[in-house]
This record gives sequence, structure tokens and C-alpha cells, in this order.
Amino acid sequence: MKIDVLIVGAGGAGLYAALSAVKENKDLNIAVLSKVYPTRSHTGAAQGGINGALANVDPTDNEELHTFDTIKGSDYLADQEAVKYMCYEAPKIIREMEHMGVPFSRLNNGKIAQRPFGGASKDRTCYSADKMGHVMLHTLFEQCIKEGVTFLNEWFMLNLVHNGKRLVGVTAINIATGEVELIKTKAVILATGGHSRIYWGYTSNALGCTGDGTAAILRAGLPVKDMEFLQFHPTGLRKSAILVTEAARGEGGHLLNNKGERFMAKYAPDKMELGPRDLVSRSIMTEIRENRGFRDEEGREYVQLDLTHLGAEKIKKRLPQIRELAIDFEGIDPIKEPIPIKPTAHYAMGGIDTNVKCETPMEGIYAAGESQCVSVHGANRLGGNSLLDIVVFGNVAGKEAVRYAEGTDFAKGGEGKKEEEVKFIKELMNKESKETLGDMRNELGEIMFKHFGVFKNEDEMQEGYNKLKNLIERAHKNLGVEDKSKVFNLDLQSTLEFFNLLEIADVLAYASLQRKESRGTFFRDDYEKRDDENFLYHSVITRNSDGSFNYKKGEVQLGLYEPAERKY
Amino acid sequence: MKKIGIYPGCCFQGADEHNYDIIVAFLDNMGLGNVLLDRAACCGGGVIDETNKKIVYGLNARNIALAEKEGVDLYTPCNTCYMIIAKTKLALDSDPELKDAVNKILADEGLEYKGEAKIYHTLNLIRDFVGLDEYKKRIKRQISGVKIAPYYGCHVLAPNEVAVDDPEDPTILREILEPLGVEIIEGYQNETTCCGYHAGFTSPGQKERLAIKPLEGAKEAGADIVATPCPLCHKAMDGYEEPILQVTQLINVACGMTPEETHIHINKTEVKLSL
Amino acid sequence: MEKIKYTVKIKRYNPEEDRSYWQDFEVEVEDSLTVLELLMHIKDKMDSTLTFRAFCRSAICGSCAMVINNRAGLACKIQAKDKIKRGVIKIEPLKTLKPVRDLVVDQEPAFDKLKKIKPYLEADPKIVPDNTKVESLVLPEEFARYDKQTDCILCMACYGQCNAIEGNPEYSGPFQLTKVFRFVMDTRDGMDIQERIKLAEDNGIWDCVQCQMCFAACPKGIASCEDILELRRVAKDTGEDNVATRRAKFWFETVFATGQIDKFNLPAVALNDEKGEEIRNNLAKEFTQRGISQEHFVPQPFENIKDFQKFIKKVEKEL
Repeated sequence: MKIDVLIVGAGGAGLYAALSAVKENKDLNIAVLSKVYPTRSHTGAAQGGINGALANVDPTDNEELHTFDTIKGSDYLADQEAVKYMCYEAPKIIREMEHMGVPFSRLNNGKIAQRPFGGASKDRTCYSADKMGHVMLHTLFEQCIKEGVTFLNEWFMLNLVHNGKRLVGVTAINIATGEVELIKTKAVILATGGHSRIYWGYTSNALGCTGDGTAAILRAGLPVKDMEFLQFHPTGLRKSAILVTEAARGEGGHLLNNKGERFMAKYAPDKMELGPRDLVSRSIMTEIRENRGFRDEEGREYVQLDLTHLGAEKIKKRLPQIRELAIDFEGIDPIKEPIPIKPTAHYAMGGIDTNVKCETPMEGIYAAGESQCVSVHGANRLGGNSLLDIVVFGNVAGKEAVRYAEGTDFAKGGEGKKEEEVKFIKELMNKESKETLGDMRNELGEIMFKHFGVFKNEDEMQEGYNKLKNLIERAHKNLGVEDKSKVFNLDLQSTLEFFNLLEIADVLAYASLQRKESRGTFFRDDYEKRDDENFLYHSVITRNSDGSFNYKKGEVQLGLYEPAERKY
Repeated sequence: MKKIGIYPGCCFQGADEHNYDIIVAFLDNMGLGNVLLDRAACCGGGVIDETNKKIVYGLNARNIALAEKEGVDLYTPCNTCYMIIAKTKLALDSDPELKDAVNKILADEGLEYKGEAKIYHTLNLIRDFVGLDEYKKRIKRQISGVKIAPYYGCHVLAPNEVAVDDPEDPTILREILEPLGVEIIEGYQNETTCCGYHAGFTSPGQKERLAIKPLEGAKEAGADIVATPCPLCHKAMDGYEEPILQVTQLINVACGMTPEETHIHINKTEVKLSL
Repeated sequence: MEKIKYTVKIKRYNPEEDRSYWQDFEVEVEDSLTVLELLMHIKDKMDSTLTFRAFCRSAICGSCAMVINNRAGLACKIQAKDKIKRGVIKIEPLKTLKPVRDLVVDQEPAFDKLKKIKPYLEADPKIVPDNTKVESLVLPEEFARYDKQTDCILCMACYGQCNAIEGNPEYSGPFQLTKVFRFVMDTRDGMDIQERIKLAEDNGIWDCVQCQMCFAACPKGIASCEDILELRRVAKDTGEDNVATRRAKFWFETVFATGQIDKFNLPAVALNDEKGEEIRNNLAKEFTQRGISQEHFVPQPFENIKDFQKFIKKVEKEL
């Protein structure tokens, strides 16, 4: 199979990239490859909204303030020109999507409605009730149908193939048939999403958020960036860790400890519940650690998110999905009772190292969305900035990839790689499992949450890293695929996804041990302060062929705002 | 004597006039008195919506209000009338603004929708209004040696909010048929698919294909007769190889009436009941 | 945490042998599992070959639609313990799509049908600006007309339970028609309304049997059956003249005149051809044979019909 521009992943970044690529050059052969049907992608789960200084609610808002809030929120690890680019694109791209048909909630004057959000100085978050990601994803999919975008649905990417100078193609498995194919392509855009599933059982993410593109980048010898930064969202449901949107606090929800106190008064006296996510997550965990949390029969610890004072009408109108989730997954109606919540692994700031043009160091390979790290989120992402990031950089990636593909031909070779994949999968299928995938995934989640969770320190992390190394070794030795069928073999796919998770957990743990400071979402008990003198850099890591890591310090682009202490 | 309000839908009219006799006899056999809500109007039939959905709320709020004025609950044997009226009741009871707005208009006719009257269909009428024990006592003879396939139709089980029984595992029809002494055939092909009645005009081929499916499934499973509570399902599915009757007709026979007295001879597909 | 024991009866499909069969799994699990968690438990602990789609596990991605106890729904949204009926939960693939393996069905035909109805906004240049300096203005009440319909997650639960497809496999499907509705109601849409309606008609609005099963199946509470009625209304109001729109007009007229629909004359009026006349003649013959008097051929206005007519007029205007 030959495709000029291949987009891997069909979430917001992938679909926007596809649209911008198709609009850029209709004559190219452009396709989206996805392991799920497009509208299943995790973008759809984004609830709260998308940030842009439209100034519809607060006329004093502007792009500059958005830029500053984002940089401050990032704890000064974001590249400031990249943030500026994103924030100045925001109003334009939001309106562009509005013109495509995104059904935004509206103000009485007919303009797009905006609400307050954590870490934002103005009411800047555009929304559609509490299902912004869902309506965006579906509208982008509709536009892809209109533009006649080709989809390879339920294909699973295995590896990137390059010749050391440029991309040759990707290998992928057609899930329906089990056939492995080499797809020759001039340019690939990895829009493969995040990897919070390394916290299996403790994450808001979909089952498939396994960092497939990021792991493939590592195997291709290419760099990942800032992997130690993974955000815990303060409000995951107690039992399932499913997300309760920040909009619940944006609309006026209170966080309460077991004394009935709004404890955020201690940690963020000005912004209260609307402090940035890293701060709120740590505050919740501190309350729990100091025995001011709640504990249920099964020993799960949590605090309460109280919406009852908002009243039935506001909850039904602005937060209908949250109400539904609380009823379905906790058996609690937020109109009547507070929702039990705890922090949940939510978003990877780190990912595939690219520049602002979405280019990796390898010609023809691009990345966009959560899998990518430009970086615009630095050490902590603000709510409402991820839906923005994926479309802004999806758009850039689509255009850049087309430009590259227009000036090049298909590279030769790659057939050997396909044979390798076939052989690898055959061996995996023939191997008898000595341990089960389910147990091992749970073990991974336990290790990561306990040792690389909201609070970290040297001893805990070292212990965790040893456990992780042991798990990785056992997995490669003991794990086979019990399902022998070729047709729709999800057991095989899950096993391959698990190997991806292990690659990522390994590099995340390694990167965490190198950073001896606290910054944004990355918090260590043993180094509680940010240390700009020694650690104001991007960690850039490649994996050597012997499995060891190559660690480099990448420069953080400042220039607009000098790093200052973050206070909320 | 307990009384119930009979809601006259289009299933009592013209070629279907006999349905009225059937249910009056049935209520009599159950020991119930009745009031005919003779100023009630069409429920909308899922067609008035094509003019204006609000009229459906108005019509049925008024229909229920007529029953309330008489101090009785409302009974219809028709699955569709039941579903539409019950759905309206749900809408009115959960939306005070809508209820107030309707009542303002109803006041002109001296009517008020209070939300007190319950909506009954044959199935929940027997279970909840008559009571299954009382029902069994009123059965005078057994219709033995006949295999009956129960067929609910759609609108007594969907939408879930107005279902007369657990829509995933309904048992009420079996509980009503068993005391008649018949053998019950369940789990046949297309037991739960639609009779197609409401596509009769707009897509006759569609109606034809759908009507036949459950009948064939029942026949294949060895049933002699299909029994439905709904006069519309009956109308849609009568006339093919496998006969279909209304549950109330069978009950009337078991309560001592002759098949002719309860209009079984009008069936297009002939039915033989051995008594 | 309480553990409960029950049987999970799963309809599996083996593609290599092209064979469907039921398999029972006896489980003893916590009582708080969703059906999806139950399936994951079976896959992790009992049979790793059991195949089903799942992704977000929070009822927004639409991957895990299947038939549970004869009703389509999302496995992740449904509590397993609520579905145990006499010790058994019954799980099957969606009924109107071909199984690929076990609970996984081929969704492609349903997506193809979606594409046929042009499921996208064609921006109306009168409403949608040609630049990104401003957005189109949409009043909250204008958005409210299709707000609910934008909740659709394309999970296909409605499609998997649709009786109209049972009768006619070419029928488009409930969610597809809800999508037409969504764009017909969007003030920003510039596609000719007749074209939108034509797409709905060509893809089956007249084949819908109004069984309500799509509404019962929808995890988001969308009533496609009602959207279809609205589309029929729009078809009528935009001047469509066919059997259905003639039926709708006549239905309202006779209910307005008498309180009841005139079923005697309806076929002749709606069909508007010889066949309709023939049906009326046959009815007349049948009535006479059965001794039904002429005045009972058609409904007679009930007492004080004028008050009823005032009521209907007021409802149309004020409700």
C-alpha cells in the first residue's frame, strides 16, 4: 500500500490534520489510520471546553493574557513563542470550527459562550455544555466525510520504518484480518494520543490511550521530551477514575474535606477551587494524607466535590454528562449529594519531541496532539488548552506534511521490516503465557501510581523503578498470546499495547529520577522547590540499541516572560 | 363495583367496531363497571405529530382530564394509544410549566389535568386493577389442547418509561394466558419484532414483511395461534397463514362466551378453538 | 464488597467456522461491575479469546454497544447486577449488523448509510461569515432545537434494535435520520431544505414503523422516532405531496372535525388512486354485510365539538 501522507490516529489532532492536508492539496493521496473507528477516539471524552480569547464574556480578555496564563501554568517550562502562536491562533481556529458546524453553547446575544476555568485569569473557555470534545470530534469527522478523507479503520500501527535519513513507511496490522502490511508513505503524522494508561486502573483515560506512537518513536531511535511530566486531574470518580470535568468547578463546585471545609482556602486563597490542576491535586492528596479525607468500605480514599448548591436546573443544563456519569458509575445524583472524587492520571505533557512546525528530527515524521511535545504545556497543562493544542498543531502538521510530501518521492526499502514484524508476531502467538496480561497490567498501574504518583521522592522512585524493571523483564519472558485466531485478535493487540506501555513507563520513570526539583505537576517531597538554575530545561531522551537511555538537556525558549514564582 | 373509563380510540371504529364489544364484554367478565369517555378524541396515532407535536400533548392531556372528571382511571386496549397517552402523562407530570400551560387552555372546557388518573392497558389492568388472583377466579373454563404464542407488540414494552412489565424479561402475558389452560410457546423467532402496522400506508411492503415474520416464527415453533393484547397488531397480522387473536377474545371465551359472541369468526384467518 | 454468583450467557461467533453459538460463563464477582467490566473479567480470567470492542468505558465513545437481555445498549453504562434475570445475563451482538467475531459486528454498512445522507454542515453564506474574525450568531433557543441530537455518539444501539431495518435492510437507520434532523434544524446550514428532506425520504423516513425501540435503546435518551416524525412534518410543510403527507393532512382535518380519524375515507384520500377507491368500496361492502349502518361508516362529531375545536386552535397557538 502506498499513501502520500498517512495520519495515524483519528482524534481531534488526526482529523484536523487530515482536513488541513486535504484542503492544502486535494491531489495527494491522504489517509487516516486508526485502531478504532474515528469517533471512538479519546478526544470525545474531553468535557469542559476549549480556550480562546474571544472576549465574548469578558471584553478585557486578549491573546496576550491567554499566553501569559499558559506560560505561568506551565511553571515556565513551556516554549514561549510556541505558546504565543497557539494562543493567537485560538480565536481564529475556534471560529473556523464554528463555521464547520461545531454546536457551541451560546450567549443570549448569539455569540459563543465562555466560562471560567482553572488557572485562567478571564472567562475564556468556550464550551458545549460538558461535551466539548465530543461535539468537536463529531463535527471534524463530519467534515472529513464531506472532504472525502480516506480512513483505514481498525488498523493498528506497529512501527515506523526509516532509513536513517528519512521516513520509508509504517508497518501496521489490519485488525479484521490479522494481516501485517508495510504502508509506504512520504510523510506520517503521529496523532496517537497520550499514554496515561501506564497508570492502569488509576487513570481517566480510555483503555486504548497506550502511547503507541510515542513508543514507536522510541523504538525508531528518535527523541521523546519531558516524559516525567504527567498530569493528575484533581477530580476523577472514586471507583472508576473516570473524569469529572473541571467545568464542575468552573461552574462553582466546592471541594470539601471530612470536616465539611472548603480546604482550597488554605492552598489557593484567591483562586480557591479554580487553582491550576497540579496544585488542586496535591491539595486533595495532602488532605487525604493528613486524615481529612473520606474512606469508603473498600478502603478507597477520597474527598467530595459538592455541586448541590448549584441547583438542579444549572446542573442539568451546564453539566448534564457529569450528572449522568455520577449516577451511572457512582450511583450518586449530584443534584442531591456531593460526588466522591480523587486525583486521576489524566494527561501527558511529555511526548514525541517536535519543533513548532511539528517536525521530529527525522525527515517525513511529524507529530501532533497529546502524543506530541512542542512544548506548549511545559510542566502543567491548563484545562481547556488540550482541545486547543490538538487542533492548532493538527492544522500545522497537516500543512507541513503536505508541503514535504509534495517535494519528495517514496523512499525505497522497508520490506525486510515487514518480515521482521510477521516473525515477531508469530513467535508471540506461539509462545505459551506463564502470566496473564490482566494481572500484569494491574501490576504496572500499581507500581506507577504508588511510586510515580502525585507525590514522589528518591527512595520511592528507586524502589518503583526496580519493580518496573522486573515487570518488564517478566513481561518479555512470560507473556504470549493465548488467542490464536487471526480475525479481530484483540488479545494480540492488547499485548502489543502493553509492550508500548512498558516502554513508556520505563522512560518516564527514568526521566523522573533525573529531575531533582519540583515543577508544575512533577512534585517531589525531597526537592519541594523549583530549581531554575539547574533544571530549567527540557529532558530529551532517546533509547540506545542496547536499551540504555541517552539523556540530553534541551533549551527552554523564554523571551516573553521571566520565570517567576507561581501563586494563585 | 369498581369502574374504569373506556378510552375510545380508532380501534373501535368502522371496520373495527367489534373491538368495542370485545372489551366491554371483557370488562364485564372481569366484574368491572365502565364509563365510556365519549368526548375523548384521537390520541394522535403518531400522525398528528406531523402537523404539530404540541397538539398531541393537548389531545391527551384532555383525554386524561375527561377521565379525571368522571373520577375514573383510563383504559385502552390499544398498545399505541396506551403508549402515547402514558408518554404524555409522563411529560405533563415532569414538566410543571407544560402542565400549567395545558390547564389554562383546558379550563375553557371546564376541564383540568390533575395527574391523578392512571393509564391502563389490558395487561396492567388485569395485573394491577383486577388483580391476578381475582382474574383467575373469573375464568370459568379451560381452552385446552391449543398452543398459543404470546406476542406483546412494541408499545407496551417501549419506551422503557411506560413499559407495563420488565421490557427485558416480560412475563405478564404468559401469566395471563396460562390460567386459560392453553399451552404457551415462547422464545420463537421474531417474537419481539414489530407488526409493521404503522407503516401500512407509508410503506405497504414494509408492513407486509414485518407482519409475517413473528407469525412464521410462531408457526415454526409449533404454535396454533398467536395471541396479542393489541387490536392494531391483530389487524396488521390477521389474514396470513398463522391465525392471530386478541388476548381479550380468548379471555372472553374462557369466561364462558362462544367464539362468535366475541367475534372470533370475523378473523380473516380462520381459528378453531376446541372447548 | 459483596460477591454474587450468576451465569453470563454470551452469543459468540466463530468467523473461521462461520458459526454462532451460545456459551455460558459461571462467574462469582463483585456486585458493582458494569457489563463491560464483567466482560473484561471474563476475558482476563476465564477466556482470553472472548472478543468485544471497548474504549472509553464512560459512555461517550460508543464502542461497546451490544444487546443485553434482548435490549441494545452500552455495556459500559449498564450495571450488571440490574440485568440478572433468574440468575442469568444474556449478551449478544447488535442484531441488524453482521458479526465479525463474538460481540464485534461489522459497522461499515451503517457508516455507509450515514455518508449517504450527507451528514455535515454546508455553511450558509448568509449566516456563516467568510472569515475567522467573527462567529455565526446562533441564539440559545435556536441551538436548543437540535442540542439533544448532537449528543449522538454513533454507538449504533438504535440501529441494532431497529424494526424498520428488520423489515427492510436498505432502510437507512434511526441515527442517520436523527443526523438529517440535526442539520435541518441548524440555522447555519445552507443546503436546500428540499435536498435535505429528499435525502431523508430516499433513505427511509416513510419506512419507519414508530416502534420506539431506537428511543428505548439510546444511551443518550435521543428519540430518533420523534425526529423522524418531525422530518415528516417538515416534508409536509415544505410542500411535499405524497401518500404520507396526504394522510397527515386528512388525519388532522378529520380529528379536528369529529374528534376521530375517518378511517373509512382515509385510504382513498391518502392513496389518491384507484386502489384507494377500491379499498373504500370494499369497506362499504364489508360494513353492509356486517350490518353496520351507513352513519357508522365514518365517525360522527361528539357533543359540543365546537368547544373541542376551539381547544385545538388554542393549543396550536398558545402551547
